[in-house]
Amino acid sequence: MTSGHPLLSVRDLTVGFRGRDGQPTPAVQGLSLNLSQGGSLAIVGESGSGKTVSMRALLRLLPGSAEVGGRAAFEGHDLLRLPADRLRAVRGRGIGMVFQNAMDALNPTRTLKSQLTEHLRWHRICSRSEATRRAVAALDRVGIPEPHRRIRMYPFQLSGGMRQRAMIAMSIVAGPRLLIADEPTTALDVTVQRQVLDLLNDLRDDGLSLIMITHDLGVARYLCDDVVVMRDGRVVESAPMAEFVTSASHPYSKQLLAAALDVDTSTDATQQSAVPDPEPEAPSPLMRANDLVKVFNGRGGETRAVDQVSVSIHRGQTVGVVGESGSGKSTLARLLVRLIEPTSGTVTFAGADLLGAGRRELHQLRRRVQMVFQNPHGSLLPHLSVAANVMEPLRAHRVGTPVQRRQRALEMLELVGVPAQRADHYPRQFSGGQQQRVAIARALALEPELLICDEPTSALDLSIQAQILDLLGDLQQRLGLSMLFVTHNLAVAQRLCDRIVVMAAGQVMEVAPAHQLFTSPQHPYTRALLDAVLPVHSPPQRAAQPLDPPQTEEIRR
Amino acid sequence: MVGYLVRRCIRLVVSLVVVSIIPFGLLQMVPGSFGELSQLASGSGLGGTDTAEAAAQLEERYGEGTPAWRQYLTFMQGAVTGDMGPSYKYPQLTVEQIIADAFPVSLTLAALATALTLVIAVPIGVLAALRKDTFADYGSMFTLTTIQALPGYLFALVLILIFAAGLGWLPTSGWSGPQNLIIPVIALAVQPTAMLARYVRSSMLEALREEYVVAAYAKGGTPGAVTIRHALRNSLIPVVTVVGPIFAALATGTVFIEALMGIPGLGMFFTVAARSRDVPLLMGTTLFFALIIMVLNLLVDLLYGVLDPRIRHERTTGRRRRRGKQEPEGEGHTTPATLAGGLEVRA
Repeated sequence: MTSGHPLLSVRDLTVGFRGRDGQPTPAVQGLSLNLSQGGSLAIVGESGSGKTVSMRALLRLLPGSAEVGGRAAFEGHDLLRLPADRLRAVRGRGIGMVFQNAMDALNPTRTLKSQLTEHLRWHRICSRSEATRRAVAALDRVGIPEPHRRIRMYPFQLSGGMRQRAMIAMSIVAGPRLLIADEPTTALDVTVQRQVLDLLNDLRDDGLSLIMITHDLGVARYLCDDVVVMRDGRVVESAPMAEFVTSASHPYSKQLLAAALDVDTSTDATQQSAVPDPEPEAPSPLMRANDLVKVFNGRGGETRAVDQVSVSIHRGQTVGVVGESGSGKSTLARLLVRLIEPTSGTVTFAGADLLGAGRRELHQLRRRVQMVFQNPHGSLLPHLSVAANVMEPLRAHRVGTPVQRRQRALEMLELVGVPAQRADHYPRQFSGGQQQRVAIARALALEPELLICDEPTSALDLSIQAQILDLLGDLQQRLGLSMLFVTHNLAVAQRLCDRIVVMAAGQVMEVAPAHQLFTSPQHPYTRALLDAVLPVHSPPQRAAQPLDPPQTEEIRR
Repeated sequence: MVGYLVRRCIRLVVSLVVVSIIPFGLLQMVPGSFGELSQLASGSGLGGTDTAEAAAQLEERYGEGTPAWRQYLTFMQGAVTGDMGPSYKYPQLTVEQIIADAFPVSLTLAALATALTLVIAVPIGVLAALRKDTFADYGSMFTLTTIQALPGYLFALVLILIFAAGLGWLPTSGWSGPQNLIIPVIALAVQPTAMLARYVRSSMLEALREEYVVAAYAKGGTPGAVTIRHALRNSLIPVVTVVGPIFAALATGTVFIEALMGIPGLGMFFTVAARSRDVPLLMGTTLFFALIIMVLNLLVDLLYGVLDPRIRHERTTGRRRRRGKQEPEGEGHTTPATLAGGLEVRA
């Protein structure tokens, strides 16, 4: 096919969902895009922008309550008007789809073999034995070792990264010309994400066209030639990627780009922290943990979630704890406030023994250490207004009269940018970002000396994440707070932290002042983490240092 | 798998012992004994069978003078060795004989009623789910909800009135051939059918909403293939858990229908035993009911494993894990050792 005749051409796609009253609520309004043969396009947007809905609408995969309008020509045929049997011939065979969460998108009660071969039979592509052979080849193609053995496994027997590969194998086995990948790496750790993206890149080299739905501009830039930015169901901007990252024209695009943080590894980035890093041996850190160990006894035997970890936090300092899922970083945060009891080790706070403290003493100490959790929706009390939520710790510590508490709550809400008029609204009436502001206000109500933040921005959209980070940085300067900041996002850590602890498998890999960690990482694991980060504002280096094949990303049995 | 079965069987025995203690203890606490009640009822001793021999035999085994714990142990010894002794009420029959005669009757009714339930309820539930929010869905669910609120013996009465008393096609009561089965089986199946169909519907709706169903459509599956291969099977897994108790309830709880239609099933003897404080018969039937329910639950759990590989898998690895040979459950992240290029961080 010539470049004049695009593989996929979408014109004025609209999607609305009929509610109970029969009135459609618009979800996508006037999406138009072109994808040439062999091209790759990123659809970028925040949650609720309509990117997933519009792509599912193309293959008419939406529930019956959806009303879809416009045109979507794939190889010259309008998918929205094809008869059902011809549409089915396109699904899977012409267009493959990769879903965000392979755990959900693979049937848990069927083997990979069943799920990788059934559509070859449906499309009458080949015989059963040939289908199995092709399925094994597809698993091999996506880099799953021992495909002959693995093909007999069930999805839950594979690790997250493997499952996502299997999902991709399933979507390419019937030989589609176009692959629509819906946030295929969002649920994965950075290093695994990089491997899956490299796989998609290899598939592109085989001639597969790609539409990538993502909220992550780094991922989009790494993989795609063109970008379409969506917001509230509308296209805000569409441009070639290289042009977009340097000279986006729409304010929203600019805002997204500004919010996308890159890890800065250039040596001239000598952004020395405001507080010079004290020597690790400096006297009396505000909090000090020595040789903390936490062993969980589960069905899988002993798991050393935190293994001989020592951390100290000095006054006015922000310490980042960085690691991938399962590294023990959240467990560490909870150990430090004694939300869970360590197996061994010591924690002192302002000279007092936190672990030896009795009930009363602990209660007093907790007043000075507060916590902000990842998911504000889960950590705020839904039946209390936000003001009452902020008053809750004051009440628990019997601070002031009810009138004074309310006064304080209003002050706190104002401090984090929630207007007083909204103080009596309930948490569900707020957006995720505002809920997190309320959670921060609640944590600050007792004027703690130390704030422990466990992934406070991970559940939030990019632009909101930037606002919350600004807020935390600003509050720290104004209030002289000390912070422990747990995150999986290196760019976030770089932006906020003075010192960074890199954790993996429950152990500390490296501790270094932020500027030093990013410019000259000492530990190989830190370097691997940094290599896996996908920059937005500088050209991506495609597989500059190939990561090791995932041998240890073994099967879970 | 063998280990799993052994563990389950040990648990079953322990449960049976606990179950046996409860009714025995309750019977010790309630006023009145078999002898007293029989005398009140008939004016003579021991329910009309006042032969001295029988009385002496009972006295020897469960006499007034024997302490309760000894009575219990005697009974349990009998239960284990298969000699629970004669019934008070029917002294010429042993408890085993009564159960052996009556249980096949109840079992036949229960098996047929369960089969009928499945044959009707699963298709209705699946169709209602597939036609969600249409007249077929609303209509069938409304009817089923109404039916579920009505007791089964009421249906038996209506059926008797129409087909036995009115049209004379079927016998009103008794136990002499297949024609005696029709009304009780239908009456028994009505309520479970209503319940199960609603259960199948909601389970099917849930399965149809799963992402893997969307994924199957995205691969080009026809509605039939996707429904049967992906949604139906997974939606039936929770349904199995309900079918087990339904069958157990039917096999042990056909009391009303059996009494109404004069069917000599276990439920009838259970009622008689409870009313007359026939301790051996009551204990025997109770233990037998408990055994049936537990065995059925075990079968359901085994079936669960057949249908759901995740559960089968967990069971077979459960032992290995406990022996500590299990690798720690990782969340699938690459370990630092790999990333560090083979550098030994932690084996």
